[in-house]
Amino acid sequence: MTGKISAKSALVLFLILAFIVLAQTVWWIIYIARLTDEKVAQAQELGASVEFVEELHQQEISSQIMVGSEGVFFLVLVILGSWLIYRALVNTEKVKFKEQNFLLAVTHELKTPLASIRLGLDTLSSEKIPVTKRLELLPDMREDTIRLERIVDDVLQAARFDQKSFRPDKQRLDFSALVNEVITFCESINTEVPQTIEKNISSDLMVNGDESWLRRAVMAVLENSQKYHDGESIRMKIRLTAERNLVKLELVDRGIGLTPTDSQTIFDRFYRVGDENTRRQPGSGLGLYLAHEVVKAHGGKIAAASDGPGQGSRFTITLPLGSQA
Amino acid sequence: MKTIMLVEDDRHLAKGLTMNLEAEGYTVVGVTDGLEVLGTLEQGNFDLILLDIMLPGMDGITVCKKLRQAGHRLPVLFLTARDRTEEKIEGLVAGGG
Repeated sequence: MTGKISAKSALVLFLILAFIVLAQTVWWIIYIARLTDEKVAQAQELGASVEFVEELHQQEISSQIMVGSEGVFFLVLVILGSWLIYRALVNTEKVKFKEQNFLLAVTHELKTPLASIRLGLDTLSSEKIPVTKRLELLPDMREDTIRLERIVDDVLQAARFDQKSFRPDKQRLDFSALVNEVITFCESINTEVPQTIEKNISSDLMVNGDESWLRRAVMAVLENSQKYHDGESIRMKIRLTAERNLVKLELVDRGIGLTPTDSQTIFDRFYRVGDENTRRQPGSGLGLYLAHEVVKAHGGKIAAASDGPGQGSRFTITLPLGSQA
Repeated sequence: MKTIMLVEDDRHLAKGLTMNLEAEGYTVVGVTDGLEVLGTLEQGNFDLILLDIMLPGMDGITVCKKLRQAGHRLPVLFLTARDRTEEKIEGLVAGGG
């Protein structure tokens, strides 16, 4: 809070300074002109030559140029300083918002399954409820445990990326098979709305990569499309092709789409589209961040694009094509 | 028999709570979206609302404020993972308990 106030105060101070520099420069230019007029008038009274008067005017112009240049130089410096402070302020606000969102998401994502497991354990020992009914809670508790495990893994892995200590265990692998496997898994998930996945996967495309982490990266992108659907159905078109020396995976969905800001920041750590308080989908804002870092660690690129909210999204992952056997 | 409206979007938590409340003799009506609370309230006689804060559609604090603005006096208990003092105050100011 103190830092925020200091930065804002500094910005106001810089803007006042810019105004003073501008006013002072204008004042000096006018003052030099007046001074010269007085000198010219005195010189003419004393019968000075035309050349002398001309010389006084030349001196006036030189002085005005010098004062003007210095003024403009300082003005540019002060404006530059103000702009840098403004940018720092905006970035601080963005980071604060993301971390606040992350805190809310993690509070919800960690505490909800924990509360559910605790309630389940208490219910299991309750004699007021028939045993068969109590046992219905066991699969839910197992799912909650997996959910907790997943978020803890994501947070720990994000910390490893922050410390730049992630080293993928690269091996030659069949990326086509990996993508097919992820699609099959996603098709098997019982989604809240009907799901259609159209796929066009070129076979036998090899990459050198960490199978486990690449699977997770591809899964994160598919899961994102499953989560952010249009409310009626999940529709995805997935295409895997080879282009020159690259493997290109494209996913086009008909989900909620992205704003231009979302497209730029969706791979940032903790970034989640929308308001945490009215979140429909679980998650920590780390899935696509992890996908981005994994793809980057493999020398590839990941990008998101959209024609706007409600227009669906397009995700592209490119990876260097692995050597053929 | 007392009727409770349980507003909770987490399926597992809602199931466990419903099981326990029913075992205690209450009738439980489940709602998963904040936007559905006012509509559901018009359809029955409720004695208590158990209200989650982080909800799809409309958050619990806003739901509670809207309930009070609409003149509903029934007790509202917040069900939430948030336990900071300012969050407790926010809930009380909204008309919950």
